[in-house]
Amino acid sequence: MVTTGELRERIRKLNRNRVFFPVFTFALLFLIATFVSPYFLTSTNIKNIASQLAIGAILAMGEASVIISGGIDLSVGSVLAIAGCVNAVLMKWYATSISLSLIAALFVGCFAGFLNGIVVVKVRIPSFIMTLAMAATARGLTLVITGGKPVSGFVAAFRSLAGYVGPIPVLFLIATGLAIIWQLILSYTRFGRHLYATGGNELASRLVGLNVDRVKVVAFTFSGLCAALAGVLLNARLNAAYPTAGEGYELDAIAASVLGGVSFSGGVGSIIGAYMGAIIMTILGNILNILKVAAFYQYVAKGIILALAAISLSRGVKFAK
Amino acid sequence: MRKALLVLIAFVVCGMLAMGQQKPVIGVFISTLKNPYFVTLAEGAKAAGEKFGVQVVVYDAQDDAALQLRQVEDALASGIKAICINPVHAEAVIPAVELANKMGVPVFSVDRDVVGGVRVCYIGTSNVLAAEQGAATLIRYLALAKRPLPWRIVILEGIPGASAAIEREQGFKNVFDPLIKGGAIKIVADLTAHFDRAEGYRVMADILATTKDIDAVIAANDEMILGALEAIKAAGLKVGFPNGIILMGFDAIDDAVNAVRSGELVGTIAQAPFIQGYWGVEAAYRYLVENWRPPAGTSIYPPTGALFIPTPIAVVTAENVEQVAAITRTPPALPGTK
Repeated sequence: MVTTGELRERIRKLNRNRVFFPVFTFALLFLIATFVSPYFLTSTNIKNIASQLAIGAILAMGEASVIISGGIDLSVGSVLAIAGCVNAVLMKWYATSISLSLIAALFVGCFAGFLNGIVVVKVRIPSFIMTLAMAATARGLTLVITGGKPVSGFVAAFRSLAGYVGPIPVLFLIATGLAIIWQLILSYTRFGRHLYATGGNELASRLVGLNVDRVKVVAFTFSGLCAALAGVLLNARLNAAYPTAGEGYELDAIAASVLGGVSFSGGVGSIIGAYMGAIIMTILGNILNILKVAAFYQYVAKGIILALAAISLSRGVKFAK
Repeated sequence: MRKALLVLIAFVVCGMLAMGQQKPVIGVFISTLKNPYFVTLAEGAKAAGEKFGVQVVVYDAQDDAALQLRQVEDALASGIKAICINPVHAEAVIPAVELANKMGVPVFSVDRDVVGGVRVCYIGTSNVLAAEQGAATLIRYLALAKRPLPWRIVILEGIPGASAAIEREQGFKNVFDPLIKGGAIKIVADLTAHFDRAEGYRVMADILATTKDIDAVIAANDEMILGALEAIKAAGLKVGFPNGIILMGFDAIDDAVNAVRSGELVGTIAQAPFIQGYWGVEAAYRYLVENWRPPAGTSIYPPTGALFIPTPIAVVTAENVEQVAAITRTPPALPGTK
């Protein structure tokens, strides 16, 4: 038999595990949604959610890596746009092959992220400012490249990125696969441990001889890569690239990370957590839509639910920055 | 746990808000409700919903095409019967329309058309034609004011890439280009202010920092021209016909109509968003219930190839400003009905 005291102790331990909360919230949301709408648990809707969550989840993984390293990346929305437009322009206007244009787009993303990282560690500009500058520059260049016009109508082979393998959306497989791989890297490699150490206590990490700068540059580069991948996938999903794509997505990515237990103070959190956070955000939007909640009330409901989630989460944190 | 309970309560409340009626549901997908123009469109849609006894659900895509696609997917999954869509982008929303086609749900585009998928019809105004009328009106007033040639004009454009911005730019060009070649007008600046009032102010202020020698400003929407108006006033310059800077807007939102009344704007183009929203829902309702189809002889909207049900436009000036509200808020009979 388990006494109440023991039970409480167990719940307390569970609570300390930061992935517990997002998983719990996810389960709760899922249950409530099933309960309040007969449309939620239909195969169409579940398929919708699975493909909808990919873009946000991929951005959140990159964002989470940067936040864990102790920084912030405000450029992911704009990098998504520039990589997506490079991808589209190469395919449509220069008849480049799918794989080459995809590689070019990912390279653009990595380069933007790398530039963010290198300036932050070498010139020592706060990442907040550097990535904000990158956001403006990348958005501007996107408009320059496309002449402000959307680029649309891609070949079927490219669009199959937004298709299905059996009943499962390819987008979902990519996002989930990436989450698992990157989580394994962070959990089981030296780089992963260094990332947490850097974010947890940068000075101490430097003093024990870690190459903190390199760790940070890798985190930013990964975030750029994620944003670029998201841009390409968004192209496949919409069958169009447009220069205003991804505006404000950085805030969603940050919110998803924090919901998933990534701490703003750095050094705490997980990729799977951020991934769960993105799923929660997606389901939240989905429920409000299928419940046909009027547009203006959606903002209110979303805000309140986000705040409630954050309040519940804050229990494990000693102090907030 | 108490907090979890709070989350639960929040949801149940949302659920309550949403449930209630069990009438056929028509989804109205708006590009952004931050723009009063589309708020009026949504009002028209709701008014038609009440008139015809259907439930109208309005979705706000916040100018994000990806979000709009999600909203359409979610709404289709929840069993809506017809779609009135005001797309964020003419192209990026095609997958949403195709999805509706696949599920046999009729699609009506309002105010802006989608360039792919099957639409029953496009209900809106020709932006090119309306912009041409606006530009022509501006020229008429400049001539009446007997300004010395060349007239120096500032153009404020909309969001780069948005179809309304592209088409209105085309309309302005159609009127201005021959005059520029003939030396009658000179374009001082041709810049985007993203359809936004604060941007309109900022961009105009920047232009005024370079020159104050300006005869007229024309903007691709009222938000921008009203922002520009404030910037011009802040710079201490005179506005209005015949001696000040002559300002021409587009959309006839309430603030702009008031500004026409007070003489600060010389005119604006009334596009009747209320009628667009109203006709959108009315057409969807009649399509579902009365087997309505766009009548034979309906013209084609050349840029997109859709069957085109044009809603009325009016150039609002000091002469007719008092009648505008009545004109643009009273839906005439939908073509093909009595």
